Amino acid sequence: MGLEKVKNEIYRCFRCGYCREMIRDLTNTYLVCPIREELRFEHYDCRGRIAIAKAILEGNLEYSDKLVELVYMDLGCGLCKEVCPMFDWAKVDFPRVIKAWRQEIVEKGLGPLPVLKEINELTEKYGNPFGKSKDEMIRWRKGNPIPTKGETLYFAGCYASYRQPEIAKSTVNLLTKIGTPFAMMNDEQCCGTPQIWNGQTDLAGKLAINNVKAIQEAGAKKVLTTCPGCYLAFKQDYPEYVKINFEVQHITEFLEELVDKKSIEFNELNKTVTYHDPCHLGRFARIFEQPRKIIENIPGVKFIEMLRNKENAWCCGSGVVVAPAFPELSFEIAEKRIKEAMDTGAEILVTACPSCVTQLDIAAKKSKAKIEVIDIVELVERQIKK
Amino acid sequence: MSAHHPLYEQLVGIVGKENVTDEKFALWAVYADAGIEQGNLAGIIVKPQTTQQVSLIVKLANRTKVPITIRGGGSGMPGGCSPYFPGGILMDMTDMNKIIEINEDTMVATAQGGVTFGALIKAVHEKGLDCCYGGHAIYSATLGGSVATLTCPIGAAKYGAWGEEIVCLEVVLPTGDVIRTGSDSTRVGGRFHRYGSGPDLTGMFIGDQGVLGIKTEVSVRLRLPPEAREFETYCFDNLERGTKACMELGKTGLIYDGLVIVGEHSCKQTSIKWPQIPKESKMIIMVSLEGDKETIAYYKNKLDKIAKKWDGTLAGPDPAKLPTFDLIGEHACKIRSYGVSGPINGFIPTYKLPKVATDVDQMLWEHQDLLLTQPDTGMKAWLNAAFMAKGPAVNFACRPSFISEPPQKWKQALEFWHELVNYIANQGSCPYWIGKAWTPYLTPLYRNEYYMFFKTLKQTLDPNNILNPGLFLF
Repeated sequence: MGLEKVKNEIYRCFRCGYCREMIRDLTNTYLVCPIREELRFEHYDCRGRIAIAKAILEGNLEYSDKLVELVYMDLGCGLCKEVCPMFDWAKVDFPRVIKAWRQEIVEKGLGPLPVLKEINELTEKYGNPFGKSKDEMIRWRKGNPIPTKGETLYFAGCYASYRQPEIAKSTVNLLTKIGTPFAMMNDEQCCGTPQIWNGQTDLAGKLAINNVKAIQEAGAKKVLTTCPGCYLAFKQDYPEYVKINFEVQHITEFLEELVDKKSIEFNELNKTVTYHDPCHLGRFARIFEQPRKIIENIPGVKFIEMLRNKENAWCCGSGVVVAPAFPELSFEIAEKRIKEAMDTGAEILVTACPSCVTQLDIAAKKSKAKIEVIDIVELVERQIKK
Repeated sequence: MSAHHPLYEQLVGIVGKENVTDEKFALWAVYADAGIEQGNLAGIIVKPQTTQQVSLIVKLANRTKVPITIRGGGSGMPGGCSPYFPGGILMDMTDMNKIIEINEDTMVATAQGGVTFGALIKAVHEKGLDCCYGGHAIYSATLGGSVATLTCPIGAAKYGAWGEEIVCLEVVLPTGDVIRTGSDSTRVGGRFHRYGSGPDLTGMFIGDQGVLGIKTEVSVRLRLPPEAREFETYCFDNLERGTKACMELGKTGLIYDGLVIVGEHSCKQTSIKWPQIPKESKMIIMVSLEGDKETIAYYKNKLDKIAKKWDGTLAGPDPAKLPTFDLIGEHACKIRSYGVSGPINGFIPTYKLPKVATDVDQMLWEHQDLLLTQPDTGMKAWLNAAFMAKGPAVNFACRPSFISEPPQKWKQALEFWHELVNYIANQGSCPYWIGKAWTPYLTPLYRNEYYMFFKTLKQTLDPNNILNPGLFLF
């Protein structure tokens, strides 16, 4: 499998170089590849990587440790696919290539990188990439018992459960305030996104099967997520491993419906706000307008877009595997995104992804930027009229 | 760990470790451009940031007699920026990406050679100005690369080939010396005019495919944006009469940009997308006009008279909006969606269009088993020509989409592609994307005296044959 599986994508690239560098004010595209912009050589951008993949496929190039490292040094942010000038049906889907490429590397026993291998081992042992106990996952829920079975299930995911529990707490409070009955599982496992992206697809498959089974046993007809990684895994990756018979909604889709029905009202917030599109929610799931509609419905909010937004949004630098494997590079990218947010004059940077919140919040603190980084559920929960 | 390239340490000494690599995978990343000609593997890649560094690298190459291949955006199609011979230095110019000046007094913009058209257009637009830009990959092509390979920009019908837009250059010669051309050739001139102060040495470097020097700074003309642009399409059921209309239009200088779809098959395929285009058309002329409303109305009236004189029928503005103006680059790229496209471009006198187009059309349809059918239009290849200012000439382009598998068919497709290049070269075409693709066909066609002069010039400037060796068979 591996690269052979994505041969069509590789041979479709005709090396126009739009994915290397494109600045086009007509479409708000200001540069394309965050990794290439940091490291500058062609082998860091999509076109160069595709040429390397082709050389491997044709037997002209052997793997080396540095090449393996290169394959993991990619955010999978998908902006290269977005700017690919071919017809939609023919665009070079480089994120698909990179996933297959990493899968090939794992199958050949050359990867993943040690830090990612450790994540996989922790996930296999503890059900989450941080090696935390299940008690820790539900610790914040103490004193607020939540049913474990129900038609609507909130799947918090590892980041909101362990790293950003404020997001999970806000979601729970929000759902309670608006009177939506919901359940949460006590034995939620990692959705498998890290494994899908680091090439350990056998483990990703196991996690998918386990999660779907548990969700079905919980009687869920609808799964709500706050994490775009989980959302995308359920919607786009799980069907490769297991049949899904429940609806999956990102919290922004859910909240947009409530805004449309005027079922929720907000208190005034006299602040300037900007929004960062998480790659997996925006470019991959095409959820661009919903979060904006929610934010703009808050009275008093002055909403200002960043220079690069929606389809052209700059990645936060996390990129599933890049943050743990190349933290320095990852934060350099995040700091540039923070600067872009600061350029809008915003006091609050809202996003809709616990991983982006983590990344951008650290970057904001590192660069001493006076901007609050929060998830959209935190903003909504804070502003909703009781 | 494998040994570094022999020049690794010395190149690191010039540009720093972070700007040099000889990793094998890195070399594979830059082995080719956007064309179908395959390159060779360089031995080492270096990314200079300044003219001084370019000069030092060239001097080092001269001392050690290691060839340099110069690479800009790598989005050209003739194979000019991928090494002709293996093992040398590949100079990646994309870090020379600073816009130096946008001078509203002289109406000249100056940028380093690695600046992309995309970056230049943005900077120019921010000042409320306009400039010509072009190439099939408009936004990723670099200024320096486009000077070396030339291009046919949007607006060519009015302003001419991309070379016409160049005012002054800063060039690192093959010896490492740095010269400035045009009005910037004197210590007091500055960058405002191309001609005077001696021969037009700017012109000598335009279209040289990088064999005479490395373009480290490029100064281009700016202009005020027009009040308006409007579009019009005319169809002709007779290729010869359509060509007469093109010739007359070319002489008038009415058009800002103009694209001509040529031949029965290309027209039929175009009519699938645009039902207002009669299926029996043999030529479709799509134009854009610019100016104030009054001027455009006057131009439209004249255009209509000329088109109708040669039995053209009006098909409205919409078809012309796609291939002209800002979308031409994307349109050219989209053609690639259907297969491996090997466009063949070259300037020809407009009167030759019917013969060249008919012959090429015939050749394409005789080899249709090697071509991919575009599913939405049934198109197998596209023939077009773009109006060029300053004389009744057009930029003829043949854009076939080849199948790439099985390997035997691909081999045949490549052979056929070379056959097409050879045919078009022998029709008196002046190609501008020359590179490896045209070198074997163009060079034998040069008059002996011209070739010997060019060769002597190259040998004088580049006695060690350092820059882009192999091109023009030097």
